[in-house]
Amino acid sequence: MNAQVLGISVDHVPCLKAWAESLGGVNYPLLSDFWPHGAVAGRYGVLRPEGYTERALFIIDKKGVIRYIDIHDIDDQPDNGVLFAELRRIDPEAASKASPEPSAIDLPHGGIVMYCTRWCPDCRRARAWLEARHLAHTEVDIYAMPGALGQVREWGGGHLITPIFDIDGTIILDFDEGKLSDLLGR
Amino acid sequence: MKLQIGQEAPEFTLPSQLDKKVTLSHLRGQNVVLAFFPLAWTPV
Repeated sequence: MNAQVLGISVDHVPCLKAWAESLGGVNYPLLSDFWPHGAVAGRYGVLRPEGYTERALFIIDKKGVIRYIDIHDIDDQPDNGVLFAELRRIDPEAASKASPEPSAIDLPHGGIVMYCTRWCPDCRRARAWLEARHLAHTEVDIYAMPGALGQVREWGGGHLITPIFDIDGTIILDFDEGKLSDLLGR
Repeated sequence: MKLQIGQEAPEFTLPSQLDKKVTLSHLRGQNVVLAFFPLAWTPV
């Protein structure tokens, strides 16, 4: 999809770096609206009185014009499907040139790759399991990495299952200790 | 003053975790998705 994604929050840069690292790397910019505090969020009308921003999406077209605004329920994750549909509506030409969804080509491959969400308890248990066995692994936040959500749904037969492991091409659904032990020999 | 669809997006230059500053007007010619999130490390 011919679009540049920019994440933005009031967190300062070291915090964003640490968080991105914990997610296995985020390949698009996470912007720090830390100083002056929330100045950009304020100009976009999304700075909450608590001092952090709304969960909000803006689509800005090639001429710098706002074409879509979603000030979302802060406790909910916006649906990527809706976002892609809006991008297609705004710029059908760009959408037809590229694949309709972000490609899975940019996803990490090789070694142990674990697809997670930030809040999934099984992902935390799986992480501890891997660390106890000194198994290096790459983590992908399925909501932070373009293409990951689609790939996980595909592997899950349409369902959203986490964690999912891609170990040198072998896919393991869920934190299946038996299968993981067999495959990794630990 | 609430922003509306059809208005020009306010310009900004901000630092990022990729050790580069991003200026919105430098991205003219591309569609941009600007995704505000409340705080790092917090679950939905």
